[in-house]
Formats: sequence, C-alpha cells, structure tokens
Amino acid sequence: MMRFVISAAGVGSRLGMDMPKCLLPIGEARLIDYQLAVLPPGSDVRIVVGFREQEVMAHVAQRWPDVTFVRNPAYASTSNTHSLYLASQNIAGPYAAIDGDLIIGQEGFDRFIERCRTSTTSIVGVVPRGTEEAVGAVVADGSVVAFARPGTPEQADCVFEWCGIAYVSGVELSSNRRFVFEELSRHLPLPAFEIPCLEIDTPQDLRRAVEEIRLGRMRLPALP
Amino acid sequence: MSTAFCFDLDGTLTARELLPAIAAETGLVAEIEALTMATINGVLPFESSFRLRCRLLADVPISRVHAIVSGLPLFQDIIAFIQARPQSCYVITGNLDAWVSGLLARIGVPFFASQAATDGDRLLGVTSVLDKGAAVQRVRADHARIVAVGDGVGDMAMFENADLRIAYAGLHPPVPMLVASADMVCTSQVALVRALEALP
Repeated sequence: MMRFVISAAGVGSRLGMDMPKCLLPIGEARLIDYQLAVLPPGSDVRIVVGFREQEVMAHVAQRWPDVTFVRNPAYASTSNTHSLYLASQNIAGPYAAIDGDLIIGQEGFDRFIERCRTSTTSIVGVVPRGTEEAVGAVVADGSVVAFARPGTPEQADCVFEWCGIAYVSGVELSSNRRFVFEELSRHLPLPAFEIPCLEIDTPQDLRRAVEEIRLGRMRLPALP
Repeated sequence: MSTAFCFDLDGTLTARELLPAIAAETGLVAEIEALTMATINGVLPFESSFRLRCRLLADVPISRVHAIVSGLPLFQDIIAFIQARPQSCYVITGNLDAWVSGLLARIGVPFFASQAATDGDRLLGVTSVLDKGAAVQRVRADHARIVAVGDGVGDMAMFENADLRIAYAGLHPPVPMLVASADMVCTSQVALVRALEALP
C-alpha cells in the first residue's frame, strides 16, 4: 500500500487570505480535495494539520473519512519539515511527501506513482523552473545532483526546480532542518521525476492556476 | 521495542455506547442518553455520572446485560487488528467488569475495567471506578511503548500516560480536549487500522 503525507499545517501568509491554504476554493471543491483525488484509492494518507485544524479536519473527513490527521500544534513556529518529521515518525517504510499548496496533474502523478512502486531510493519531484524564488534542482543524467537556493547564480542556471513532492525512502528526517530539500540534499544524487503541478503561494500564483485550469493546460483530477 | 495498544471500549470498539443500549431495557433511555452525552462532553465528571447511571440500570439482570452487550455492533476492522496481536492489545474501559467481561473474553483481549459488587444475577453497586492512567502504567510494566486510542474525556488519563495518542471518531467526534492532546486523529476504523499497522 502506498503511503502519502500531505503537509497542510501552515498559515499561508503570502496568499493574504484568512484561511488555511488547503481550503482554498478551487473548481468545485477545495485545494485539499484535488490533492486527495489525485492519490491512488485505498492509499494510507496522512494530512499534517495545524492552522485552524478543526476546520481542515471537519472539511476533509466529510468526503475522505479514511484519511489520518497528524497534529502539528507548533505549526506557527515550525516549518513543513517539522510537519513531515512528525508524520514520518509513525510510518515504517517509504512514503511520498506532498506540499499542501500544490495543484497536481493526474497523468503525470500516476507515472510518478508507478515509478515509486519499483524504486529502492528516494525520488525528487521537479518541474521546469518558473521563478527566481524557487529552489533550483540541478539535474544530470536524470538525477538531481544539487539543489540551488533562490537568488544564487546556480539557481538562475537551473532548468528545473524542486516541486514540493518527493518519494522518501531510506531517508530519516530530523526536525531541526528548515526545508525538506535540505534534508534530501544530504542523499544526492537521487532520481529526478517531472511532475506537472502548480504551487499556490501568492495571489498571482492562484490567478495563474485558475487560468491554467480554465485553458485546460492543467487538468484537475476527478472528484469521487 | 514492544508496543502495547490500549483501546477504550465504548464508541471505540463498540459502534454503539453500552449504557444507552442497556437503558433501552428500562424505560430510562432519555435520562441515560442525557447523562452519557453530558459525560462525553465533559459537562459531568465521569465517575459521578457513571455511578449514577449504574444505579439507574442496576435493576437490569446481569445476564440480560450480557445478552445486550453481545448484540452490540463492533468496529470489526479494529477487532481483527486486536485479535491478530493478542500479546500486545488491551482494553481499558471505565465500564463495569460484570457487564463487559463476556464480550471482551469472546474478543480474547485482556482488559482493565471498573469493578462492581454482584449477587448472582443482580448488580449491587459500583465498588471502584477504573483509573485509566494507572491501568496504562500497569501495561507499561511489560511494554516499552504505549499507543492509546480513545474518544472521550475519560480517555484523557490514558493519553497522559501514553507515548502515542490517537483520538478516534468512530461513533462520534472525539471531545475537543482529547483532540487537543492527540498526536493523530482518525475518523474511520479503516484509517485507524492503517495508522496502527504502519507504526515502526
């Protein structure tokens, strides 16, 4: 059985909306609904909750009763690495980690899952580099060989960026690193896998995502 | 590392609360229901509410209670998890041993329960209400890690003595106090069993 951890504890302050990012209205539902819809049915799914956890749990449990919620009460002062750490402590074996602010394309994600099923190592999800604010991924021969921090010359040269999705196998997380990519960077090189997805950090990101969906360039998964 | 799994009974293993089911025999359904909900919601302390409810239900013959308890719907996935791990699962219930022993013996799980004085088929009264925290500590003597699963205020003492706390919304949402001290929240038995089976 595949296991997934979605980190959805944060405040999402850059979006400027007074709600958890995972509850953003998208299409006919909320962002978190489309994240859950993209996963293979029957998976073991953990959502790390923090900011307004009761609202998130109440919304998710209605449509997705078989999800487990992992609480991160220190969400305001910790990063999503800590959220992932909390969830990973109670999972023996590999899992896929997914940032809670992504709109994910079904077909590409299905291919990623197929790859995960036969992989003995972690896999780093990437997308073509979009902005200077992203964490760059230096890819050589299909593997991520280095990450490049935003604002560096190395980042500007990157063709790909880290997309916020990873298959985590044989990597023990610690709670004191700020970012998941820093944790993964200690295990490079790791296979890179391109997963079509859009990150929603800012109002501009949201507008762009809505437009991509409207134009059919990003196809939302079907809701059950 | 050996892990012990400690489960509450009412609403965690049974898909219906026991005392309201017994109350159906007595014509005191509304009264018991009100007391049960007040207890679940933390309005009434468990011990005084439980003693009161047992007093109200004391006229029901013990054999009849066993028959009622035997007919209660159970969360079968969780029962299967327990039965697959007879050395590491425990039920820790505030309910009376005289009422629940038959059911728990059939499941085949060791348990800690409140104690009652009986005379044949008659319940004389509650002699001691279980301290769930103390029960967990007794389990700890044989296990390195304690995982606690519950849904009500009565399970707080179990949570306070556990290493991993799971609030379970099987029959009703777990009380907010329990959620606030939980590490994980499961809203179905499918989720709960997956979470338990995935533990390192």
